[in-house]
Amino acid sequence: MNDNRKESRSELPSVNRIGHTEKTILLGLAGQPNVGKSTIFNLLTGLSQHVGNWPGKTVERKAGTFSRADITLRIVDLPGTYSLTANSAEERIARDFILHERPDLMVMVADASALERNLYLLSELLMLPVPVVLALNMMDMAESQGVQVEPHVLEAALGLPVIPLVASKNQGMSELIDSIERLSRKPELFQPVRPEIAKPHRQVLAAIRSLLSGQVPEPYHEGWVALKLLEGDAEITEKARTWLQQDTWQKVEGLLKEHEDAVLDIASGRYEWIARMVRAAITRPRLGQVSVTDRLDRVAVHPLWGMLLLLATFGLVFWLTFTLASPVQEWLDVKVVGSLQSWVTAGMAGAPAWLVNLLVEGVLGGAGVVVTFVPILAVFYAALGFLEDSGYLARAAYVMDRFMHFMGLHGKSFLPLFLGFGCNVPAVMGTRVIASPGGRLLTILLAPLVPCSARLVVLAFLAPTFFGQAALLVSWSLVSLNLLVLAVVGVVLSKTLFRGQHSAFIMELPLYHLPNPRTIGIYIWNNIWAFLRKAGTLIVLISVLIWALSSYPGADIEQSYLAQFGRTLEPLGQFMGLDWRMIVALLSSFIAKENAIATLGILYGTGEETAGLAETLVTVVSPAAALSFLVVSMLFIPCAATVAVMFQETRSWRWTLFIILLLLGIALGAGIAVYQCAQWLGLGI
Amino acid sequence: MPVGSSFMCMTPLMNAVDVDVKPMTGPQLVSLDKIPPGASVVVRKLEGGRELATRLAALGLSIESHVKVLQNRSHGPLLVLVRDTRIALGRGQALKILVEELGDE
Repeated sequence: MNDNRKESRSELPSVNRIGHTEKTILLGLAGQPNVGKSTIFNLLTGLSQHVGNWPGKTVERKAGTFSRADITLRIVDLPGTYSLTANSAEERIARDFILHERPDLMVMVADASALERNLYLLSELLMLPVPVVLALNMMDMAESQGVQVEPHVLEAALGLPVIPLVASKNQGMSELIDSIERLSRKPELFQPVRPEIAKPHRQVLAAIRSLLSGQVPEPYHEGWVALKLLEGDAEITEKARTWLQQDTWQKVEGLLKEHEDAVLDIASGRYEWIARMVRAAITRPRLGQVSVTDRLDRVAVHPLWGMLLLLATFGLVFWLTFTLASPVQEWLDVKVVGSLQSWVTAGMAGAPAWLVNLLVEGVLGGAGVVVTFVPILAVFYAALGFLEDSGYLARAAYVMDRFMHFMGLHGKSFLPLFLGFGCNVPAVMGTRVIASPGGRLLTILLAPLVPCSARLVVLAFLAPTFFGQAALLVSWSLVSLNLLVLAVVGVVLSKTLFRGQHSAFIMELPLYHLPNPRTIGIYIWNNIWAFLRKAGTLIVLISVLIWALSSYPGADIEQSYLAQFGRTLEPLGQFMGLDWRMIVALLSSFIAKENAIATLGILYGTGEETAGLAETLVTVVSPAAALSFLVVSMLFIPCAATVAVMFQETRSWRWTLFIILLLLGIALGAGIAVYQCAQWLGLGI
Repeated sequence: MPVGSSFMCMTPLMNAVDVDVKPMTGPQLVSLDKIPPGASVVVRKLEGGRELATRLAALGLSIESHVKVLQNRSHGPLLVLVRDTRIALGRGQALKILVEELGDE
């Protein structure tokens, strides 16, 4: 064993050394998904965290600092990954961080209740040139699952510091920091036992290594590159091709072809190593007990009960969102934004009228729209964070998998689409959880068909105005129509443009646990902040633009550029029973969906007073036209913020334009069909 | 014969050869999607290429790992327990995982 240790250590470049005087260290936080990594990150960094993107990638990068008298940690939270093979952008980011940013130290967070699977990531981390501290989180969960882990036994076996934690109860954090501090001062203490490839492939690994000899540039290492080549790692294969002479590369390629099965042996070798490491450290005193997770799953993943539970959850989230958030939203709109507007108007009495209008209607109007969204998003994200952190959301995806298959997608696509009910912007961003590019693109294209809270607000305002008693029925029908169109578009696209792109569905269903309020709080904050940053500025800018278009050239909105444009579209609108005002309202919904109401208010001359608007609308708009207006606005092109994010995520104007035109066609088609049918049924009077 | 079978456990890649020689006596390999709920199996062979193999391995499902099928209906995904982890698996992926049935505990 000792010999082994020495041998494998000498294969790796030496780790970064830190002088005794330096106190600031760069720390990477790695771990598989669902191990409580973000809880630990949040505990360490609090609100000092900075959320951005990894350069050139659409993956979130979270960084923050932790300070204590003896040490300052600059912490980078790496995306949760099961391994470090370049199967996904997250995995690439995690290993590129270690290779290129050269952290002084890594903390790997492991779930003690599924230790063997978790240590797979460690077995990969140990092949990279960085010292590692292993944080054994969820010690309490492991115990409740009948698994007992002895940290110091594991520490002795692995040859690296192992710290037990219950991060959800803030237990073990100072010991973790002590250990980080100790190892960062004396990196030479890091003497881990590293895994080796199983015997049948040791020779071929050595052969590839010698072919690579001297050809691998910094910061890569020959042994690691050879291993990744045998694993069929796409990124490293591509790189190695450029590093080597053509004939050398052909030799390597020949060896790789001959040993395609080596990947299985590498994995088995790692698990054999893991089994050796944990043998003495894990005991299972209570076997055969039915755990809480098993009991809950009897309902949650049941074909019938699971579906009903999902529907009930779904309903509850909506009910909560609208009952809790609507009053706050109204208060913000009337009391905060409204008072601010009148305050600015009064305060700037001497200023030119156009400037006052620009500020009050353009800037504050737009900002008001943004702000009034915050309560809805806050409640929605709270509910979602709760479901996610408890472990339920993965079950929802599992139950939905069968249905998603009809659209050529799988269960994981359900999660971002569900987010879309809150707002389409995070839905599009949330598609990052889908590994396959085709599945991800298709989910992005379908996301705008999920009726977001803004559209639901429009619906909730207009449906009772026109349909009184039948409002609820109309609302549900319209939401169902959207989902039906989503399903049809999904099926059609998956059978045509996305034909044959079936991706693998492999997903962990984590153990259930009580959600951590702090984690949920930070989740809400991060998402709302991202919304304000991404959508906020854009909405304000476009609001100013629309204000300008509706204020010039004449003093009256009826003569504005916007009205002129609306009138040119009136012939098309006739087929749907829409006059130019409603067309302009639809166009303005491109900024933000609920603008439709405000615009109708301005155009029908009732000002911002929505109460008066309802009465006016009933007298001038027929039920058929109203129904057609609602149908079109529910299916209409995504809002500007969604379009911007769609482009940002797909990096393709073609696909972005494609979905805009497709939705425009569907919305107009549905509008015409509904209007004509409704007239035929006699609703046109 | 016992020698043969224990040898096979260690080097699963020999299975194909062994089955060819003695088709009647080698352990039967079936794909995971055929395994009823409640049964425990050992993974003997992974088809479907390197990418699938590395993704499965990272979640604990490697050659020689013990898998318990928790849910398996005639259609839709499977739910399995492997290395203390519950994993949802598409039917297409389960088809590529060849396993040997163990007796019922």
